[in-house]
Amino acid sequence: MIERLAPEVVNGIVLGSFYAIVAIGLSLIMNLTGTINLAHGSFMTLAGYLAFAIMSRGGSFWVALGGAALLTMVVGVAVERLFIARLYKRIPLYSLLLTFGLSLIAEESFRLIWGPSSVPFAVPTNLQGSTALGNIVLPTYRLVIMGALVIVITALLLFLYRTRLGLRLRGAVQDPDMMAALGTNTRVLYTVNFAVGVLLAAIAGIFAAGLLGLQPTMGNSLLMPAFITVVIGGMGSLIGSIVGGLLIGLTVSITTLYLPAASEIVMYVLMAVVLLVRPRGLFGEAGIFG
Amino acid sequence: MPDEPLLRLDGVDAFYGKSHALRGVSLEVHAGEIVALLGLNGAGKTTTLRTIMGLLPPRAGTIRLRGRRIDGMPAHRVARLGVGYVPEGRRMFANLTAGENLELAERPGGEWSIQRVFERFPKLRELRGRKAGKLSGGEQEMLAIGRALVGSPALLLIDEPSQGLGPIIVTDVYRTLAELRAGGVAILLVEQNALLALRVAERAYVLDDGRVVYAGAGADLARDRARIGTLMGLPSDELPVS
Amino acid sequence: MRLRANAVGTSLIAIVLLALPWLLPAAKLNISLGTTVLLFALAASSVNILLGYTGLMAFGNAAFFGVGAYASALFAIHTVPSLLPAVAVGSIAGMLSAMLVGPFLIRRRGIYFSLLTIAFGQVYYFVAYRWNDMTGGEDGLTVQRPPLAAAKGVDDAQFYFFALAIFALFMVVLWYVLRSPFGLTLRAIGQNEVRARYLGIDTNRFVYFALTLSGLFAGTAGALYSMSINFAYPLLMDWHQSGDFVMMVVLGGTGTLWGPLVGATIYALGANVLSSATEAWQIAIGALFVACVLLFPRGLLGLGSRSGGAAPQSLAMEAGAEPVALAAQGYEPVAQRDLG
Repeated sequence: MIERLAPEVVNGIVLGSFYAIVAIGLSLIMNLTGTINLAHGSFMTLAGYLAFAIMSRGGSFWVALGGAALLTMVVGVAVERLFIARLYKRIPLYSLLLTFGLSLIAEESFRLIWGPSSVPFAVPTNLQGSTALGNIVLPTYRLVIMGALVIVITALLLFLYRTRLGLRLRGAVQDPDMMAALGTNTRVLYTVNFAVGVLLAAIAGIFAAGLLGLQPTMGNSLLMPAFITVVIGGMGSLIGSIVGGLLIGLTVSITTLYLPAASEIVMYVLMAVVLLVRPRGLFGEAGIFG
Repeated sequence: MPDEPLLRLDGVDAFYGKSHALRGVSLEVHAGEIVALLGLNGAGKTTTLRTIMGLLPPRAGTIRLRGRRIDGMPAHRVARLGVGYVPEGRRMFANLTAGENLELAERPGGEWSIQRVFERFPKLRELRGRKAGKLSGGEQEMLAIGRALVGSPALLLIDEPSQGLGPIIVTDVYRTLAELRAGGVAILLVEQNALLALRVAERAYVLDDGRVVYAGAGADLARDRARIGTLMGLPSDELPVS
Repeated sequence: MRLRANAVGTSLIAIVLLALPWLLPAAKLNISLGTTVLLFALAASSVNILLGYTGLMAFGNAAFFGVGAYASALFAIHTVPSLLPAVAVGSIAGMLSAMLVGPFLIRRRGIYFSLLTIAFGQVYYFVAYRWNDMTGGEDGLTVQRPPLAAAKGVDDAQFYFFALAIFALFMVVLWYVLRSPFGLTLRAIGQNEVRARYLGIDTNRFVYFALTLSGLFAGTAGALYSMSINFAYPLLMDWHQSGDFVMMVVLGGTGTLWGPLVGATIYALGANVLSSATEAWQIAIGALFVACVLLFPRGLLGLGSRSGGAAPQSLAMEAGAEPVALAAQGYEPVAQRDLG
């Protein structure tokens, strides 16, 4: 029984961690400035392609991971400074439409540069194959991803709850005017916040490339489930994104085991059920954003 | 008392969208004094503080801090130049602890540190681990003042400190304000309770519909209390006796 | 915010629309492009009802559009192959699809509302994509355009006039609705919902009705669309399609009667011209969207309902001041009633 269940549980946690990481990035950006980042998937895909480009020039997987993540973050900072920051004073509709427009540009650009079909994203050989944990045999790559994502999420939580900058971010989410009145440059905070969100997307994108295959629409396929995760977990709650992501991941995986036909729809059923019981999501709170 | 006022507003106009909130407001605060800003609800008192703080840009007029223009500056720069803000309703970061509320305002190298705030308000040290939203009104007011002090301000903007507080706590708060003044902090105090404010203030302005309708200082204030009461709309039998 | 029933402008538009079957071919364009413009304008109007008048950032209307498209196609395929009933079925299906998700949406506002519209839009997309037996899945549903009456088929030019008639009907209806007490209430909610509540308006209920009306418009547009292109496919329901509709409203001018038509024209013409000019036309469209948002957010007809969007905080300030003032005069907010 355990032998059957364990791989699915691991799959579920891996899947859930992906959803969680993307959802956290979305949440961070949404909670602070009300920006619904429809280009979040584009950043994921961009990071994947950049990593691919680095590896094509001889870089190792881990070098590619670090390099592409940082490069993507820089692009994110530029996008925030040049475009999104201009729209903070307006109703959130405009930043939503802006990121939508950017996602169209990005997707087509990827198609032009790297072609419409999958490019061969090489998972390093030492990460291929399986690892045995006692009686259970699990794909190595997935285990590594799981470990990496857990580390990333932990690092993020440490950043938010144990550093001065993280404290200021949490304060600004509640009351940005007051933060400014206490001497914090909120513009810089918004940029840092966006950069962190994009960094999370980038890391998720690079790992996803090896799992899902890298093509222009890769990021978008993870984006919508991430939105569902935010809805289920609750707007304004990072813990909600983590719990929501894991909940979806595990539910989908275990359903695949017992009722494969229903495995995809279960995410939406879950969302409907959660909203009926808790209209703001599991950990959602009343906020200034509705 | 130095000639150049610490804070000076000249003909400041401010708008909320189309609504003309401040009309040609001019006032002064000198170092080491408490100035009362009085008026009814909606007269523009809070708007004046927000405009000074940089949370609302003035449409016209100038605001000078130590002679240097600060109108149009973003709030965080105004704060770093030495203006502290204790807003109406305290605006605690409710989900953060009292200690965290102080930490996020901390700036190194100034007269005040979090330690000093704890020494001045020992109660806050006790409460440092408690969520700010769970503190009582009086405790929140102390925390809000402490939070503003951590930035080592030369000027404190305080909005309705007595709101929602019982008389004993209010006395406490006002004693604190007097002590701060003695320590060299200038205070611009917005109060609905005119009598309370006039007890500590050296100078007072009354706002009505965005305009300054009265300005007085020192001995004149005692003599003018009845007039101030009328301007504030107090019924004749509640007017203070001069 | 003004609602100008500009007789001159409307007449001009009417003349151009009537002349389109001759104008388009003269410009070497297909008349079905004109049909597409009308239907996209109708779909964009459905967004406008929510966004431009009621102040709701709806980003899931493609779902209602798609439901209408599939419903009319399925009706024509499996039941009676007749044009008018098929479109009627599609319209109602679109309306019902909005009413179904309404209860989840009406209690939220702002970006949470947007988030929910995106999420529920995806649910509909997923159903279209996966319910292979019914919808043809990824391949979509091919449908022969059913005749209007008797056995006479409807060619592209005739279909254009058919669509134009329905479009005109719906625009007249919209015009009346917007001037009716119901419409005025919606606009009041769009301007200042807190104040509306203090005046005794059950705003959630009106939001539900707005959603229903929006679904009807979008469903009709979709129903006609599948009949026009003889095809219904899942991407009609995708968030990209929703985004396109929202963008059309903004391009043309949010909160104006003809904004959606203007926006749809810009979009459809632009896409048509650009796609024949370059393979990378999506970049150009995306750049157009970005430029519009940054540089001319009020759109071509320039009467945005919130004038390019005031900051949420200042709106909150105004909203915060109002209840105090109103409460002082003895008003109390109406408790929000749930539906059902």
